Amino acid sequence: MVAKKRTAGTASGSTVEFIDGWPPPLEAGNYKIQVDQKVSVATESLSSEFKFSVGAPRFTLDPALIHSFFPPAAHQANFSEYLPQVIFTRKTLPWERTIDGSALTRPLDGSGAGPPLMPPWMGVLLFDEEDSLNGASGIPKVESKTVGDLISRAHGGSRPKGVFGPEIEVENLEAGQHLTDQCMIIEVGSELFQSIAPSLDDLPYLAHSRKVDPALKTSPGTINDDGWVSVVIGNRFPRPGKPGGKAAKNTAFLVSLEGFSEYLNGGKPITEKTTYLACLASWTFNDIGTNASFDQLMTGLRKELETQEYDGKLSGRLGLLPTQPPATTGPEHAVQQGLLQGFTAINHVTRQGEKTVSWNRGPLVPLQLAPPDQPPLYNSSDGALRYDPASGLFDVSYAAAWQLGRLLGLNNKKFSTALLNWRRATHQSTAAALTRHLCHRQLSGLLDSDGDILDEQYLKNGLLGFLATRMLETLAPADASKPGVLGKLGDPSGVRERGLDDDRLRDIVEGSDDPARDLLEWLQQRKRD
Amino acid sequence: MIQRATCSNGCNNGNGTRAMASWQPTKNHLPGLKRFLSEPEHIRGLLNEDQPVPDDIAGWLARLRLLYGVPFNYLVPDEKMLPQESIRFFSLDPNWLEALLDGALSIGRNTSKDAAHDEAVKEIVHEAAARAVGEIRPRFGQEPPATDSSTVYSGFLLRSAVVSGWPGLEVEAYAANSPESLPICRFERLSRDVMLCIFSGLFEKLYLHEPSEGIQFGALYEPTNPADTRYQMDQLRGLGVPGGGIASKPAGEPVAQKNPTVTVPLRATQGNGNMRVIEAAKFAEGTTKASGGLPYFLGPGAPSPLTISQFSVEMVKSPQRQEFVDTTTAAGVPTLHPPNRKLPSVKRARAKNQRDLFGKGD
Repeated sequence: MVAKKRTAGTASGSTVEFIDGWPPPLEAGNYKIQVDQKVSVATESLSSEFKFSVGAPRFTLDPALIHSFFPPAAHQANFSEYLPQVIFTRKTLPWERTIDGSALTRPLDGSGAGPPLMPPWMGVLLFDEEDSLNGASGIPKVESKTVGDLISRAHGGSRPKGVFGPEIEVENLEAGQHLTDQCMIIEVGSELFQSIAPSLDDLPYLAHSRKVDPALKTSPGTINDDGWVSVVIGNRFPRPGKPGGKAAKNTAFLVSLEGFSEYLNGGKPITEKTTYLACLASWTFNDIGTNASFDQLMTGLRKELETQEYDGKLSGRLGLLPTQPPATTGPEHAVQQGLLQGFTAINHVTRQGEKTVSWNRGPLVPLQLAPPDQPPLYNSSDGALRYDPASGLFDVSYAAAWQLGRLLGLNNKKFSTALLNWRRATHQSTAAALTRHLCHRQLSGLLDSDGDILDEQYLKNGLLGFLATRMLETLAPADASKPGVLGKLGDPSGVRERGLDDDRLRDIVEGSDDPARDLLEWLQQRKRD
Repeated sequence: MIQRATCSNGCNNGNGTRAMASWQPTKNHLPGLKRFLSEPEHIRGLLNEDQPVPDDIAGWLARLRLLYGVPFNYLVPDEKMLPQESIRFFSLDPNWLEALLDGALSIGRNTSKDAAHDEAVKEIVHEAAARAVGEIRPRFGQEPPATDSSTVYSGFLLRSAVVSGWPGLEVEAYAANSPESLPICRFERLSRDVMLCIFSGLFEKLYLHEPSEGIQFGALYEPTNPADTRYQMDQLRGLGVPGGGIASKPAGEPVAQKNPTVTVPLRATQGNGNMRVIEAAKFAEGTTKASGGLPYFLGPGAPSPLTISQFSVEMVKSPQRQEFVDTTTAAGVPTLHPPNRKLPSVKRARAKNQRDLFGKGD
């Protein structure tokens, strides 16, 4: 086996289409339509107002909108090379609101094109247990609070003093949103928040839409029919775990960044010690850490494999390679050949206490072996011992396999019970079948292959002959000292002397509807006589 | 012959039931019974037509054929055969498996009648077990592979940090000159860092794939020391735009970077060290080597800043795959003795055993 250079492997034939974003025709918020009409001849102008709200998730998120997380929630592996991401089933979700509450400027022709860099209103913040900055440390806890707790007192909310939060005013709550609505909040150290949050410039790059072929997914139903999904990516690589040591716990929070446009990384400093963020979703994964990436490990495997060379041939197959240069004769040759076939030499104490060395090999062999002509049947594990007269060595491989199979079989009650039951059942059917077989052979001239009688008269004569001779002998033996069946029935006397009424017997055999009943009656009558 | 056979129940129940119940042929009948059982159609007539061997037996033996329950030191008798960070290839020894199965089937084989029976049904049982092998691994709606006693199996053992670090590791194997990948019969972690994989068929090419569920974003992290926090990209992708450079390659086409020097810009160290926070805007804009931005590496055709979709395409971390190719043939390995030839039985050793067992009086 040789290892080739690794390559980027992508699913063949699949195409993925990326676009910058897919803003909705109208962002969420309260809208007012005002119509003025001025008539030049009248002094008063006519005016009418119409208010409406466009709804979209804001402080909470319906879990059904989330297609998947990566790294997968609660998984433990090496994730340190991957940015965490959330995939949404709705293509417009990250742009359904704006981070500062303003409407995007765009042509009103409904083409949907927005500015080239549209910051999404949400972001993925990644925390780990070792995060520590200015008193704030570890992974924040998700607490159930209300929308009012998010909004500052100055803006009509009830946020505690000394805690920063989104710059949202109560007047800006949309239809159906109330201060008492439940929502999930994380409290994060303000300085830590600002150090790991994306900057306003970074934010647009952390969300995009893409189209995948739903047919390629194992569960196409989870993706919108047109195949478009939206994606929000975190801006922070997970903390790697210590190789062989404790896994690093990382928790990602999907948070609303609405109202933080001026307070992201690089923005105005937050004077309050901690900050409230509306948490839309969160998931935890563990990085176990390795000393190497996938690529490095593969390279390592490749290089290790290249050391598996003997006599100018690459092996890579399971087995020990000889350490000495190839010998052509003698014990060295035998040993080298044994090793090359996957054998290992083991010390073997025979039943006689003799100490010897034997070959052993497991089921995984470095060469292709032909199966036996027919399955073996050994009476004991010793039966499976093989002896090589040339070297005088035993091969204990198959004996060990046989013994192991026996132990494993005994250890599995379900199997051993099933085996014994099955063998007993086939023993019983063997008996029945053997009887049928032998009967059929005895009566081969009388029955055809379907078991139907060929010549009825011939059979009747045969039966009569049997009754008159062998059956009579059984019922009442010629040797009067033996009781016979009739004797055992309680009438040992005189049967033989009286003899059998052959005519009566012939009547029964030839003319009766039920010869067995009639025969029994006749015998009982004879007994009474 | 019939009349001479006696029945086991007869002794207890008196002579009246002599003709009933199961047979216990006398010693003289064993040759007859063996003759009877040696006819294949007789055996087939004895067994259930639809299911000659019960599922409990065939299914468990099939698992045994795939080495379920076989201790690891039987698979790898010497630790040196599978050192840390290594991969080894093998094929399964059918003789070993048949000996293993016969061992399991030897339970309760106490009398010569049992042996005659087992001898008669052994091919049927082994065949049923071989057929059930394909059904052991769940197929998630796919057809299980057809297997029988002539199926050969090959596979690999992998002992590496890859096993624990990349639990979704994917494998694909191909036989020589075949576009169809070989069915996987067993694919399992045996311990934290050891993995066993068995294919039905002999593979010539093997691919190990980094898990590829969905599209992920990221970069290579290969620290040379604990303080090394470089996240690098060993390939960029074409963007399908005119103007030259990598950016002008067809959109999405990967272009390898030698000695990856494209390092993802990270935010300056703060608090308790490197925060591993990427500076996306800087990366998407930089047009000079000093800035380390993608437009610089992508060449003159790349716009600055990149659009969001262009940036996303570059940041996709493609799953890697490693290919292994068999260059040797099994026939190339010299053989100690013809593998299929039974060696002469060991009469000397047997005779000694008997003397040991019966010769020494206590």
